[in-house]
Amino acid sequence: MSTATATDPLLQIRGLSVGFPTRAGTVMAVDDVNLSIGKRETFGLIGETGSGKSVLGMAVMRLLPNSARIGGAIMLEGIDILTLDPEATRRLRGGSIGLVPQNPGSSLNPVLRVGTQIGEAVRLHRGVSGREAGQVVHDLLDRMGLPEPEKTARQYPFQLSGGMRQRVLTAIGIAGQPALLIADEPTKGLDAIIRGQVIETLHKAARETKASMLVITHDLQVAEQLCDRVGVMYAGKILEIQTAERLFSAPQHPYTKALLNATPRKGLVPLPGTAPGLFDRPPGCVFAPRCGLVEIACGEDQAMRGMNGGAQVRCRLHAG
Amino acid sequence: MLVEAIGLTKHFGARGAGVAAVDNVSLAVAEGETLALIGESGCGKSTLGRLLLRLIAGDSGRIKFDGADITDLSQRALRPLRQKMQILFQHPDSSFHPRKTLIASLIEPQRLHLLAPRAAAREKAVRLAVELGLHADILDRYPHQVSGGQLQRIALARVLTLDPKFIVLDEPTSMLDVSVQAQVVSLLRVAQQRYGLTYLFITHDLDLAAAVSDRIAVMYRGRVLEQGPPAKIVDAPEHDYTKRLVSAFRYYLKKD
Amino acid sequence: MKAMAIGVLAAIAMASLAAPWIAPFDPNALDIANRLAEFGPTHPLGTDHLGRDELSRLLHGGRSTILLAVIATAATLGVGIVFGAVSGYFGGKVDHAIQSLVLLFQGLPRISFMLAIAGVMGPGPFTLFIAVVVTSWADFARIVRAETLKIREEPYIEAVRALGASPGYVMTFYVVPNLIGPMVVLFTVEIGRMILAIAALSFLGLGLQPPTADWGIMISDSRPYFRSAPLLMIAPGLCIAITTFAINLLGDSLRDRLDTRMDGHPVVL
Repeated sequence: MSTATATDPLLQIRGLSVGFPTRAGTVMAVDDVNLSIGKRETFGLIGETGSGKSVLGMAVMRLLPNSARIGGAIMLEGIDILTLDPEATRRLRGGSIGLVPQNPGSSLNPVLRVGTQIGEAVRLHRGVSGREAGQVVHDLLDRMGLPEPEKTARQYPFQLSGGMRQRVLTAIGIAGQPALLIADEPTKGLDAIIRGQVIETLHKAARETKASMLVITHDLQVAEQLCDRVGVMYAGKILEIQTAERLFSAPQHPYTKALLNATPRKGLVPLPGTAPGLFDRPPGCVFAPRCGLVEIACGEDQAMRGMNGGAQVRCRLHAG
Repeated sequence: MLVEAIGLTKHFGARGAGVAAVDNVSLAVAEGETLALIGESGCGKSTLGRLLLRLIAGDSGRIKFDGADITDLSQRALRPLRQKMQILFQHPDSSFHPRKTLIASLIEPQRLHLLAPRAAAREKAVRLAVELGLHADILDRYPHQVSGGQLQRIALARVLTLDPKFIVLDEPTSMLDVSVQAQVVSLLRVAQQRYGLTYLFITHDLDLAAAVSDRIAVMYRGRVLEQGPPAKIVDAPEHDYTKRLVSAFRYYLKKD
Repeated sequence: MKAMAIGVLAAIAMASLAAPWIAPFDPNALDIANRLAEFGPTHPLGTDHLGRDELSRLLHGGRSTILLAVIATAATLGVGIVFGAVSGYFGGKVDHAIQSLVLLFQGLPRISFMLAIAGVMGPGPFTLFIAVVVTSWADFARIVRAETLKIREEPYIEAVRALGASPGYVMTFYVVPNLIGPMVVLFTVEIGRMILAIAALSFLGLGLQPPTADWGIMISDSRPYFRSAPLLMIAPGLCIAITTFAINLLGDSLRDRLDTRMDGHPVVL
């Protein structure tokens, strides 16, 4: 994938907003998000705590609480999944959309063999059972690069290393042959040496199943290595979408630049101020209060603009 | 050397049966320097930090602080020394008494050491908090009402109220966002310069260690494998483990 | 539910406190001529086998039981907190010694032990008090110890120790205040059990003694007349049940509110 727009979109998010009613009025966790993920594309969503990236992920999984006010559309293979009834939603999860949860330590049931746990997902979403399901389980473990699938299937989670558990979780994520695989903070709390394995496992899972992938992460290295394109979220909005390569080498939005410069490798340059909370979102450009390039025009809401080379940036500097 | 450990060993679990969390470690931190202690989770780096401060008891080995051997001091005799050797924790949101206001927590250490009357203690606490970029009015709040980054700054201010010489920084930014981490690190640098502090910076992030330290010590399974300036550790690692660690941080996915 | 529980408890407490003024008769005034009277205008709930006014006895009957339950629970909790907090915070040999004691006391056969205490000291409220405290403090100590262990592991405890606080300071200003929440819950949960235990012991003749107007004793007294005057047993029984139920409801809602996990339930009988 070389251009920054998905040519053949599998997932299209249009004008998505997610609000939560509170005593002080409705707060917008996700605000006017547009993005599309192409077939077989891996899209990364990066952002810091409170940026709304996790809420966006939950919206795609239809896991938001009933109190959430959701606007816009999430089109998966031409169907707006926001309109699905509960039964169809249940089939969607683990079916068309597979999830690789965070925290491999506690996402597996400690008292069931891993083969049984993968088998459950296989039976539920592929409609096969018995010997055939067992075969699928072994096949999945094999494809995830576990050396002895038969042996691993008979083991309990505590007998596996962190990296192996992550592969088991990924196997469960792809058990239903999803069109879209979502990885939610796949490297959170993992040591650096295991992190590389996780990136490889996820890459392999997407390639093997020909699935598209949405990676939600705060880990910039994961986004850079694993993803084809990356979206940067801040205060509920996407401020920039670019190919991973260009985003990390030539960031366009002042926030993206500041974020990258704050990493240890780029010298830990601190951003002034703090990210706005849900209750104190600034009017106009959400980054303006912390931006070094702020002008009067920044007081107006900025639209996402396409640039030469396919980047999309929500900044006055890139207008016209 | 301000702080020195000689042959420190600590076992957990039943004596002899447990694995050594810290295994015959010798380490020295010079006055005014930042020594980064890097290793993966469970390698014993936090245990080593606590051993140096005698927050937990070691099995064998000696600890020297500011020229004096503190290995055998009683906890009571250590208490006045605590003022000079401090620790900043990984989880800012649980480092404070949940039902005390932040200003109360900030004043407490000076009162414990009978350093100043309440009003003067308060004045110093507020001055330090403001120095670290905090608004004085958030100090009247409770810990759950402010963000992790703000709490970590308040935790630093709390430690600084005692005028310490040595601070163990136990993964002080690992729970924080990248941009907040940069803020906290820059404040740590400012504080070090202004107050002549010596740091043991515990982290699992090689990039961070290289960026903040004068020297790096690499820890693996309870042992310190090698020590040296960041450039040496990153560009010419000696041990296999260090090489693996460096390559993990220079990881590049081969897509096909 | 919680509002209802509080309302019921408030009503019971008011009625008990105001009993001497609102009760139509002296609860111990005999009127043999009028024994086992049906309910009517003079005696709204009738009279018992000695002609005493049932309503007046019911109003008075909660006083001693509830008061004794509050005092006994507080005392039990006090003993439990001291032993449990010391045991949990200091650990080591102290913990070992206290835990041995706890196991010893938990191993006592409760009813026999209470009977033995009553045998030595003679029945009466003080015996009752000693009996319940001796047989239940160990359960409290265990729960408090578990809570203390949890609190001791909180990072802010390590933080204040690192700042130079002494064990006594940490205990007084950090451990005990954080025990208060769970202890309030434990208190409400336990007091219901204590009322039941006291009523039961009085029923067995080991606690409060006749002619005291007491719900447990009233049930005991009314046994021979259950067929002819069932209300004499049902009324005090209902009083005990409603009080306990309301207290348990309150305890439950407090527990949900404070989100405290209980590891074990103290049992008195």
